Amino acid sequence: VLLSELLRHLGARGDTIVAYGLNDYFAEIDLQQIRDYPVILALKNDGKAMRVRDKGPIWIMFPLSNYPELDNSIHHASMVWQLNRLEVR
Amino acid sequence: VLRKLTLRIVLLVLVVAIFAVSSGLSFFRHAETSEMLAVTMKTGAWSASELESDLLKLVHSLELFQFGQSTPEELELRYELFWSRLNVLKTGDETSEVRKLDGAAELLTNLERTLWVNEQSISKIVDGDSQAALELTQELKQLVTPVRQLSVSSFNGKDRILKLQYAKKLQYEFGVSLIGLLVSGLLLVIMLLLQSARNREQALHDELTGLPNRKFFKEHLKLVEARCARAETQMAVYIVDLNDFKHINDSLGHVAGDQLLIEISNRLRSCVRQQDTVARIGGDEFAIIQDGSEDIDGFGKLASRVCELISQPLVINNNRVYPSASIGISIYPTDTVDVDQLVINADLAMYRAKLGNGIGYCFFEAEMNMVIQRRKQLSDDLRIALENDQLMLFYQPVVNLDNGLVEAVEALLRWKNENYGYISPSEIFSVADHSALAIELNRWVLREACKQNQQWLEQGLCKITMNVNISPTMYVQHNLVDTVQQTLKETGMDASQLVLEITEDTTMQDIESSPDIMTRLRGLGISLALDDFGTGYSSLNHLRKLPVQKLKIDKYFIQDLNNVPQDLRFIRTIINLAKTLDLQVVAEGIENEENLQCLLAEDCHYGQGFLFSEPVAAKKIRSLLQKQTDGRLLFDKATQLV
Repeated sequence: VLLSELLRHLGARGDTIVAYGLNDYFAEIDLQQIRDYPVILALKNDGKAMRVRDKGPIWIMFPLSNYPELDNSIHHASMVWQLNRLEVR
Repeated sequence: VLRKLTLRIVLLVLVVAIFAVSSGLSFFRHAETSEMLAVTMKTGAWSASELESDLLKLVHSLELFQFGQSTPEELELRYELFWSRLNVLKTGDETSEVRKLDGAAELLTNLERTLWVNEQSISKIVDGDSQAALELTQELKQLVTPVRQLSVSSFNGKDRILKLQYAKKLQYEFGVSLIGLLVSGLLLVIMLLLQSARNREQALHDELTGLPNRKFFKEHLKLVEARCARAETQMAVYIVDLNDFKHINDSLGHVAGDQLLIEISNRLRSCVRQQDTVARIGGDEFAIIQDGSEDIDGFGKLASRVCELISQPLVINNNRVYPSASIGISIYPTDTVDVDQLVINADLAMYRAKLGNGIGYCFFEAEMNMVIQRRKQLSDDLRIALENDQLMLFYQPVVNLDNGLVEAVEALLRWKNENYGYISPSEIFSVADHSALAIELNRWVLREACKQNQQWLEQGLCKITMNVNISPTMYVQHNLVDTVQQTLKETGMDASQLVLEITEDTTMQDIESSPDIMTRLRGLGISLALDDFGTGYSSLNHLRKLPVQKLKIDKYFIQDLNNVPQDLRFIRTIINLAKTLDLQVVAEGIENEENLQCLLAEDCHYGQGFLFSEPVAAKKIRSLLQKQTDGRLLFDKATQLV
């Protein structure tokens, strides 16, 4: 699922979103990033729904291999796994 | 010049600035990288402490569940989260540092095995199996301590601290090498500045003598001029030119010449005061700027001191050399307020001193300008004229007074200078003799005349003789005979058709060897004429020894014939003398009928002058000779027709 599509569907407005994980880990993501790149919410790995122990059920994925410029520690930190909740600010 | 200098300095500063900034930047970037490294190391530590936290939460959740204070979902979630944390630590680059720690691998394997073993226990516990819950709690609690240890050692483990220290050390070393880089760069810039200073020094000084060169002299002269203008004081420029330096160079060699120049420059240095400047502005030409002397006497004193000191003989390669110099002096602001003109004036005065009467120095005088300026200008122009073949030969017929036939022509130089108009042949030769062009000029004249003669012959004209003037300098050159011989050979001219005209004074230059030179010239088969006879200082004794065939009576004696009352005594005596010595006589400068009548009466052999023809171009001689063949003569003794 494209994160940007989900947000549009929800009619979210704001500049940033804060993604929270099940273990209360959180990361701020610039909304512009989500518009510029096809950031997805991954639900399945190899066609199988991901378990919590496999960092499921939802994992924010940045397209690192297609956009090498994203491959840095900031975006690594933004790829929140075990996504629990999204806050739009 | 100033703008160029400023530009160069700005450029240099810019280069240094760029160097410094980029060095600084690279240092900070490196420091940042090191910090980033430390951050990456922290990621491992973070995962380890998260592992501990997740384990504690799981244990806590188990305990709460046993007391019914937590939901099964909560317990399952904690269990799953702990699983996922373990998976994170098991793989990936960020956590590889943690896995490398002592006992970490076994601990992780142990944890994984525990979880595998207890997969079923969780569902049992959820279903209310308190025994299983207790067992799992016990089992997990045993793991809390080693997990804590892993967490702590991932933060402060020996390896990690060493690595961080190493990173710090690396950064320190990088700093040191950067300082080395900066220092070497700085040294490079300093060396560059020193070298450019040295280059400037070299550009402004003469390599041989170490004296300032012409460029320096000119720049410095402007400075001194400005100072004098402000202080309203005088200064003088001296041009010191060595006499006969070329001769010394040619006879003793260039090494000796250089030694002489060094010695002269040392002498000049010792003559002047601290504030004066000595420069070498040309091959054998020096200049002195004397700053602010009170009166002209002061300037004269230095000049005579310089002359005296320079004339001290010295020994070079066992040869005793007697140097001498000609000095020209021009004074600021008396003579001129323009520094360039000041140098020109001094140069002119030097030229006068050189031509002059043995006094080694000469002050500039205004009237010098005209005369010497002309000389200098002509000298410069003549060189160019010779190079560009701008000179011409004109020919004046020499008529046999017995039969009226043109039997010879005298080749005369014709040169139109763009500033001074036509220059007389005698002045051209004089200029050439004083500017080392004599040999070249004489050769040119000789060759042109011979070539022209051959051309007339080819055109089928009757044979005449070609009279060519030889200048004093050419005469004393030892290779005159060779030059004549070579020219005859090259042009194919018959030696008997060539007459060299040598003035009486020229033969006097080298009395000892004159008879020898002339005998050798005669040996080539050519004739010799003694030119300007009667005006020189030669004695009859000298004349007796010279193997000449012709005498040319100077035109002044012919012009004397125009005086009233007429005095024929000299002419008569000369003609008689010539006849007695069995020489042919040529009268020069016949201007009118009366002159001719007198000479005919005295039985003079040949005549030359405006009455017959002025010097004319080769083409005209050709038509003249053609007419002569047709029987039309310039002059007929019988009918006296002219």
